[in-house]
Amino acid sequence: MKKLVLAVAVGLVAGVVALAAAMPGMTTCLTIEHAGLERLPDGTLVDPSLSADERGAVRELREQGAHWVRAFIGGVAAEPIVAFLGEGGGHAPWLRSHPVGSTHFVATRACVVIGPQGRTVGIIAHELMHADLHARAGAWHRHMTVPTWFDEGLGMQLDHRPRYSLAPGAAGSTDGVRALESPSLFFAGNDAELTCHYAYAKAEVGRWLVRIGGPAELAERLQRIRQGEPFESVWRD
Amino acid sequence: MIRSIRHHLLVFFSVIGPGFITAVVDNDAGGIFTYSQAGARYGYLPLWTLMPITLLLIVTQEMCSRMGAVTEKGLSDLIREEFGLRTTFLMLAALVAANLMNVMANFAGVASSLELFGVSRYLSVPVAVAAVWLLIVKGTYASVEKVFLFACALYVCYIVSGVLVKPDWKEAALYSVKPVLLFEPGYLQMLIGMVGTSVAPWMQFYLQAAIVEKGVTAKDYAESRIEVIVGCVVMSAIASFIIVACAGAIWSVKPQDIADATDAAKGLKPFGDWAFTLFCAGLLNASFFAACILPLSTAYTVCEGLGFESGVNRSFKEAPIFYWLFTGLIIVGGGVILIPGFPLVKMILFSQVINGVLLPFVLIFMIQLVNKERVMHDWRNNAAYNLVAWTAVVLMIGLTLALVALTVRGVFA
Repeated sequence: MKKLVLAVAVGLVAGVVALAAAMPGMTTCLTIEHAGLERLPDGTLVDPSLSADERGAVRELREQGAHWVRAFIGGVAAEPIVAFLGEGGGHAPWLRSHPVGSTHFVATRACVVIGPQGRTVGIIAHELMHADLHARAGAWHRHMTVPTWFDEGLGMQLDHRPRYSLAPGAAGSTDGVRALESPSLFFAGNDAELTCHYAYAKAEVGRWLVRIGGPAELAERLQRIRQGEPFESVWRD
Repeated sequence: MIRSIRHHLLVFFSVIGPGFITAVVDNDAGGIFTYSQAGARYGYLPLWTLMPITLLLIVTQEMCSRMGAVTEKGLSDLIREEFGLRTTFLMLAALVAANLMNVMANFAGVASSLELFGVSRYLSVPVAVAAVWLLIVKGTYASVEKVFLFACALYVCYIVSGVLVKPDWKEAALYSVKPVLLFEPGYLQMLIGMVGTSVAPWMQFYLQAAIVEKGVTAKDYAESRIEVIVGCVVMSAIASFIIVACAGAIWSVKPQDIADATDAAKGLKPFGDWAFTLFCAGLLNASFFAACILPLSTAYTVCEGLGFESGVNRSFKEAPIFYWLFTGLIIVGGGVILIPGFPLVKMILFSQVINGVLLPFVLIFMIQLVNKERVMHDWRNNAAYNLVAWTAVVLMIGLTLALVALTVRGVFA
């Protein structure tokens, strides 16, 4: 009986560790508040190695990023956990860090992680837009219906890094990006290909926003996705 | 000490065959497509799944081979004795239907792999049917097993073609041990498909029947168990090389879906004639091999279940039902491939559904049988093994039913 209990215990622990390792994004989202980061008065989590000036700057950046999202879509629907990591890696080793920025989800919970190279308003607004889309379209529909190129293209509307902007008239059709429906397709390839994916997604979604009458219409479209309308119909209509 | 090792090695080589063949033939045309698709679409990421799949396979195969060695009876024979004729008959009907469709898929694999070299299916399929028939009907168990073991050795084609495409070995090694779960429907469907194709009902019946026909007894079981485990590990190694080959040749250029296994072979062309030819040869070998084993397994199962004489060691006169069933399966399975417009893809999907519905019953029967004192005496599962076995069975049933649901949804979509 002892052997059996031991086998079950070892199996359970191994299963949990394997699951956590298999889904680093989810693990980050679930454990970020217990990963050795400090909480600022506005709720932002920061790496303990950040100086007082840096802490003030990241709070300001977060506010600005949220302001950009509000100005774009007419309001902020999400309340993600936002964490700023430092160069020193002053956080738990299991935390999935990204030098620039990334957003992770577990059900309705969203977590934006900004790396040392991601401290610009555009990048923060980009990540906050992912969280906003998640909140507006709903966790299930965003996951099952919204293609990755659209999610990234929407984030890129607020991200003005020149490398991701196509010169007007420089590119032909960008609708090939619509085949990149899942993260495994969108994020595949080398750096140049990835840049292309982002740039094409930005152009494709930008053109669509013009067609539907501007970002003001966006909230209503995302609401339709939340109500179960297929993405293709929301896109074509 | 040396004498003891020599003795164990001798016994090991004398019992080698059933476990090894059953596990390796699991990489049939359908399996090769599934693994090729995994590599072409997701690169090295799915490699980690082979580790739990191997464990699941070992647990189920080990129980079957133990039952065969201890009871000296086939699985369908035991199911009939313990659960009645009606249950056995229904199960056999489903198994025959599913296996027949799998036989078709494997003759289609023979046809399409040779079509890549310009050989018409109107030539290749009849020749393959005749070759399969002659091999089984005119051979003895020993001679047939030698041919099957040779066919197992030819799976080395996949290892060589995997090396020839010069994949990123560092990535391959990393993702072989690092589990990655992407929550996107395509990835989950692929994982379920990999598990679903790895453990099929026919394997349990064939393995136990072959153990019985080879004459493995409880006395030789220690070596037989090693043989089963080695077979499962080899199957997994071959599957990993198929994934690596497609990841290196197709995914690293552009992640994409492939239509069938020959698409994967075409993807290897830029890496030289050898990579392409070996992959095609591997597909031909696997399809031909499975086209032999599947009808043979079906004939064993039906004859054991219904109490008819069976076995490759018997002549046509001694076991007419066994041989007629075998002959019918290969003629129908090969014949339909030559009918223009035959809905083969739908048939294969339908066979997946039948297999998925059948597998839970087979696995539950197996666990019940292996725990019966009257049947297994001192060879029953202990508590810890039962825990592992039930976990494996529940997991497998869940994943297989998910695969059935996805297949049904796909068919109706």
